[in-house]
Amino acid sequence: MRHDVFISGFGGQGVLLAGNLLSYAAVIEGKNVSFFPAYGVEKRGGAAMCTVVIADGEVGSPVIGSPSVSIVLNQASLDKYGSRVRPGGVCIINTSLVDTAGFDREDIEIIRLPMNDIAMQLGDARMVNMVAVGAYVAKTGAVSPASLTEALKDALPERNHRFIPANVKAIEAGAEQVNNQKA
Amino acid sequence: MSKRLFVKGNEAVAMAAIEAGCRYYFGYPITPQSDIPEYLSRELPRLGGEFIQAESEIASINMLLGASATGVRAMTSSSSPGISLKQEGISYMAGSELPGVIVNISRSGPGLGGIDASQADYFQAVKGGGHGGYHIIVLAPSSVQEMYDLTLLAFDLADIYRMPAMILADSVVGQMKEALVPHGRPDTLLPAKDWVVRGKGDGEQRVVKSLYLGDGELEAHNWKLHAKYRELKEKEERWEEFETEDAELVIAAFGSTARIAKTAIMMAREAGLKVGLLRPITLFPFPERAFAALTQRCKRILDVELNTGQMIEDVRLSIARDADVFFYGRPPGAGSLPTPEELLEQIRKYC
Amino acid sequence: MQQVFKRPVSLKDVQTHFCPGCHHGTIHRLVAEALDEYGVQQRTIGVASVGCSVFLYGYFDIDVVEAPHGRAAAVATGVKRARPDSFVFTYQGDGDLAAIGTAEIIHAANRGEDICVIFVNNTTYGMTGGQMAPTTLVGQKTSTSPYGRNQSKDGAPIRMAELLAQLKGVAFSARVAVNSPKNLMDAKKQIKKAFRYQVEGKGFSFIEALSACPTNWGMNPLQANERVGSEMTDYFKLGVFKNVENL
Ligand SMILES: Cc1ncc(C[n+]2csc(CCOP(=O)(O)OP(=O)(O)O)c2C)c(N)n1
Ligand code: SF4
Repeated sequence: MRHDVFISGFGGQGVLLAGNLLSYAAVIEGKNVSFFPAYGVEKRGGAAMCTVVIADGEVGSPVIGSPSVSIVLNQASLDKYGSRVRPGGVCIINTSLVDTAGFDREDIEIIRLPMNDIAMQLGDARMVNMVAVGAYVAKTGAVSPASLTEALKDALPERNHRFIPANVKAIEAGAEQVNNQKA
Repeated sequence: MSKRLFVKGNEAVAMAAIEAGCRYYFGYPITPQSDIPEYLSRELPRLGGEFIQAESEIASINMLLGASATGVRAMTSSSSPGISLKQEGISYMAGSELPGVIVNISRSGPGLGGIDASQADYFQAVKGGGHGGYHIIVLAPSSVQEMYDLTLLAFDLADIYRMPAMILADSVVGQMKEALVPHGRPDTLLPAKDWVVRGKGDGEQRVVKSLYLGDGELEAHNWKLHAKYRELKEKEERWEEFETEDAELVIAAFGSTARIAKTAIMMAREAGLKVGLLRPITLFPFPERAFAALTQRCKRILDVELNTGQMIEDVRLSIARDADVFFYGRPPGAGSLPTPEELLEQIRKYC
Repeated sequence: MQQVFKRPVSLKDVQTHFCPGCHHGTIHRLVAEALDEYGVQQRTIGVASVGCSVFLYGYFDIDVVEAPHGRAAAVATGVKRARPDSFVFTYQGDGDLAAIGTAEIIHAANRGEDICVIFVNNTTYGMTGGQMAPTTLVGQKTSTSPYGRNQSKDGAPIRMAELLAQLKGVAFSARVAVNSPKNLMDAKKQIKKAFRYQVEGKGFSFIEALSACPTNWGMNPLQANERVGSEMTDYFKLGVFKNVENL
């Protein structure tokens, strides 16, 4: 299997941490993975974006034109990357900050989740990235929830390990939303 | 098996340098390679080594020249504009037969250009970027693991052949993170460094230099250098072949572009197109024999580069005469990195 | 009534890319005001250096040449010799001028080139992400001096304004800051003096402007401004170090 995903938002939403977390989980599972952050000029203006490719075999290209999944955390990202999702792919959108009214692609599956609200209910809006990762993993099965939990130790600096239980909750909340929508 | 780490390509270079026994680093800040000096400024002092942020790239390459002349393993890294400034020193190192590792995480040019991934320094790297007609060893990693492996190799080859070795990569390979399994340096037999300056004591005088004024001296010196380049071609050509066995079209690409091409090839294979990849790992020596052998059976090569066509000249020189060579490339700059989908379109043109 | 915040004509009406609390913008403004003061905008050729100020041409409404990193003083020499009627200034950071460009600045100054140099000292390499600069204070942590600048290995921070003042070719050399209204007024005065030397064809003038880089100092704008007035001015004393004609 090969999973490729764009994660995008603005600086401070934990976009790069989300990408790192997925990657560490893949490493734990013995899979191949590449994590490629947009940097430099693209980084200016507070935008954050990364591409993660997870594969059992060769990763191949760390850069992708049209990903199978795009996780969109803010409006600017939808405007920039929404149209690039591969036909038949999935777009997971943070509707707390994104207006999807003008986004009417019928050739992809659109998952709308009020991620900020979900994170806020759990006590901290900063966990919006974890909600997103939970939703992504529930949708695609790219890595297992157990590896994600394990990977939090690698992805978070030691001083933040005390937040791991809260982050696990946020991941589960994201996953649950997707599973409920499926059911 | 040692633990699989998850690190940036640039960090893998720095880790491998330390593993190779390099304890001396000289550099000057420039994007997108700053992770290397930042890592080494933290680690080298703990290991009793020296990290110097020099006043310029010119100073740092000459610090490398000096350290190498005493026999230690030493390194410098930079990106394109800085590598241009190092060319004088590299020429002197080549002329003085000094080992030393130079890392170029190249960016787009010419001039100040931009900071995006680029393969436009190919000519400069493989054709002897400074004056006087010389070559250096040039290795082109295309993964984080290879950033590590080839850095280890660069130190060994530099010592064996007594010449500078360059890692030529770009921000895709330098900035991306992948799994890395670090390992010790292979126990390659290295020649004794019986030429290093050390203070002669009661021994013979030794001089490290590139000036030869005596009748016939410089010619002889150049023939000696030339013989090493030939030996490199015989012994050290390295490349990777991917799905070439039954390929009717083979993509020639190195470094980051080869990675992008791989996905394009997987997509093409799914569509039933017989496409493969020949990826030079050593850019100097260029894997001429691999291309010659391949084009005995495959008659179409699509050379892909992140520039307007440089390596293609070496591809053309290497192939059997009756193969066609096509080109696809884009000059580097913001937004010009090709995607696998884009390369697939190119593949379709020639299949 | 006097209009205080009028935009100098030499400055374009655009938003700059500088980080909040960065002093580059203020220094740009002072330079533009001095250009206006002498009415030289139309014949000015600016030489941009490589650093956060590389987009000089985006903010100044003047002709600009972009110099390779560190070479602005040499490029300015070429411009001024070829077009002696033009007003020529360089605008350089501390990495640019005091590290890679040391040879060029010393020799341009020593030849007494009839140019003005604006040297922005923020004790770090701003554009490349906060590495150690020749002006980084002893003990200051940067991304390439993670244990703090070590004087015995990295040397002491270089005081360019004093160093250049010793050269015969230099007509005027001063260090200014823009962290307080008082310093700002003084900076304005000194920059005008520096420019007057060139307007009157009297030689090389040098302004070192202390500048805040909150982003790479890991400070908020207020703290960064504070640091300029304390730690920085303790080591980099404000003042005029040379003024041959006592303008
Ligand atoms: C030859 C060369 N080496 C390195 C660089 C990378 N580089 C870009 S800006 C810069 C220095 C920035 O620092 P400074 O001059 O202090 O200006 P600031 O950004 O702080 O205003 C460097 C080293 C370059 N462009 N060219
Ligand atoms: S990085 Fe520093 S010098 Fe550059 S714009 Fe920001 S505050 Fe100013």
